[in-house]
Amino acid sequence: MSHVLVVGNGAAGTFSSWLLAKRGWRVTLVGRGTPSTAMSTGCLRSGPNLCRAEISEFLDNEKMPWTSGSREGISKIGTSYRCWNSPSHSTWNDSDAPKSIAVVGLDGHPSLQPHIISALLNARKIEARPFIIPSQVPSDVPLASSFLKDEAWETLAEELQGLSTEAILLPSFVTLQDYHRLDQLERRCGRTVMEAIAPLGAAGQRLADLMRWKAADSGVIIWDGRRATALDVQADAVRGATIAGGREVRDIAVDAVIIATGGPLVDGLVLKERDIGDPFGKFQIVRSEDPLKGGYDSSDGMLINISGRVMNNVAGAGDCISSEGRIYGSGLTEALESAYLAVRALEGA
Amino acid sequence: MNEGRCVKCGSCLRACPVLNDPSGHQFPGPRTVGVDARRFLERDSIGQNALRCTMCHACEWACPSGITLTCSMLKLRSEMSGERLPGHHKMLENVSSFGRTVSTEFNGWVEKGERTLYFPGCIGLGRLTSLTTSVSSLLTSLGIKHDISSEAMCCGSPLLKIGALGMAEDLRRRNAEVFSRYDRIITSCPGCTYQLREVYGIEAEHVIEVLKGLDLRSDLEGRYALQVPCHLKRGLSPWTAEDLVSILEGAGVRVVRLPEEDGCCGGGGGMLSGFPDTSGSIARNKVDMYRRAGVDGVITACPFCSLNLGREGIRVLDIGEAIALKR
Repeated sequence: MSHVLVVGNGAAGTFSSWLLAKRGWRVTLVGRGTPSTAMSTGCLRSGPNLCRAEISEFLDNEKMPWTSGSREGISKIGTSYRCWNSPSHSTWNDSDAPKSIAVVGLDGHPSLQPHIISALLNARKIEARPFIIPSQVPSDVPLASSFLKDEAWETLAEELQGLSTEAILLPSFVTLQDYHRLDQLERRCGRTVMEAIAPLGAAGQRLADLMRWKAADSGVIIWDGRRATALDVQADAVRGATIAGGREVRDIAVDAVIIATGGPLVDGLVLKERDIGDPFGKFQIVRSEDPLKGGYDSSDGMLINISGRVMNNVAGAGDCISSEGRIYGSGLTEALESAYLAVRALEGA
Repeated sequence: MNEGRCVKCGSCLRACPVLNDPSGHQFPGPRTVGVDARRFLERDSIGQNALRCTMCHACEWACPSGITLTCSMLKLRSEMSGERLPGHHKMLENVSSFGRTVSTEFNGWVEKGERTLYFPGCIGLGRLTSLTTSVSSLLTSLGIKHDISSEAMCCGSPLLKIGALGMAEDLRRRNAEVFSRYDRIITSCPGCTYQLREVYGIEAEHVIEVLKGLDLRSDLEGRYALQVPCHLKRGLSPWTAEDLVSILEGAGVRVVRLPEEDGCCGGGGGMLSGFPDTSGSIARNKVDMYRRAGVDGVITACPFCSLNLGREGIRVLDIGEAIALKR
């Protein structure tokens, strides 16, 4: 069985690992730090043009059902958020918008701004009103930590009981384990329970967790908290890699590599002033006016070495690949599509 | 220090076991203490709440920018002035008077001039002497003749955690003389192992590293979850933490893997002595989680984890107590 090393624990890394494991590869996934996926809104804004079925299967999770199509949700600052695929409580169908919404905020916590959101919704002719729950949670404390126990959910349900609006908009704080509690809350209150769309919070974390578990379930060996510090390149192929974790360093032999380390923000490519570089010092970089759009040069998914030759066993996926034409907000979908292309490139090699 | 790389994503906040504990809200959080406080001009007056951190490395592990938050917080602690917490004061008093952070209960010293030293650490000698005896017998059964020296003092790790650098350095000098008599040092505490490697430059081995690959058995009945020690997984090596699992499974223990198994027990970083309430609350919530999982007990490889979780009334075993050599 061929051994592939996937470097990067975000959407591109986990999806390509999962695809490869399903196709019979022995996969080791190495990644350290929180991936950008975990900082995203946890929704796919644009519909994929490639591998739609594979993406749906990859995201499928019994704890958190997804909805897709032309959908709309409300961001944590009250703006309209349109997307193609989202967890079921994040968005509504275009034909199904609620007529009235109670916007729930925790007093003094920045997770949701009920007054601003209500004003913005009212301006859009959606009847909305703020509903403030007293709270002593300091602003740097993640809200999720206040909802770890049954009693907290019980209190929340009691607080929301008297509301008469069609829908209730909550801040985003629900973990993957607890997602079913939103359904319970919905039944208990008899209202549609919506979760505001927010980056840097529970929703992205949920997606990253889901992807990692999915990869692990398919047999991928996950070396979390470790990073690939060097690649052993001979001619046009990588033969080995050096992996560091804690105070230990190991050299491993590999038959193929997928680099899915993410962009220069945060830490995938080396960022110095406005210049970007390859941390491995082995592959060509395309530089762009906008450093965030630069990245590894590639040819049909394969990376190109510093002598200008196409590598025969190293593919790139996700944000570390140069992407001049990227559309704002398409990141996750593009990362998944490019992971699919990287896997196809390795299989064709 | 590389705090300038912070992108304010808040990943460290979501990973912090103290901030996510209902009793830990007074902690300003790893971002304030580890990143921002370093830039405050008035940083030495940040206050004792900055010490509400277990030094579990979870923030550092979560940081996408690779900021060495733990180092940064240690540095801040060494620069902080003001009254020490009563528990930390007591710890320093103990070290000044008898060289260890807690009073020594152990009396099974072995000082035969063997080439190997078993270094149990302060908790193993003061609070969990049966753990120390079990590990020592296990080593003997493996044919590893060893001393347990009464002259070896605290490794100094807890002192670094409370910013007492001078005293830690004194201990290092005293211990270095004792350690120089041995070819091999084996420990049962990941904190000591980390300190010996990082500060003393001695490649001490944790018991897990000694046991790896041996033919072992276990007499344990029932299902056991893990408490993966912070300084083992995120300090020494995540591979060594994985070896803990394979050793136990290889010995026939029914190991129940839980996603929360590598979360901090609340006992590190001077929290157990400095803020026992928060330390206890974190342990209690962790024990509740184990109880919900319906396991018969918890296996760990760190005296602090054993002590802190054990206090909450769940059966906690060290790996040295959980397994034996196959006969």
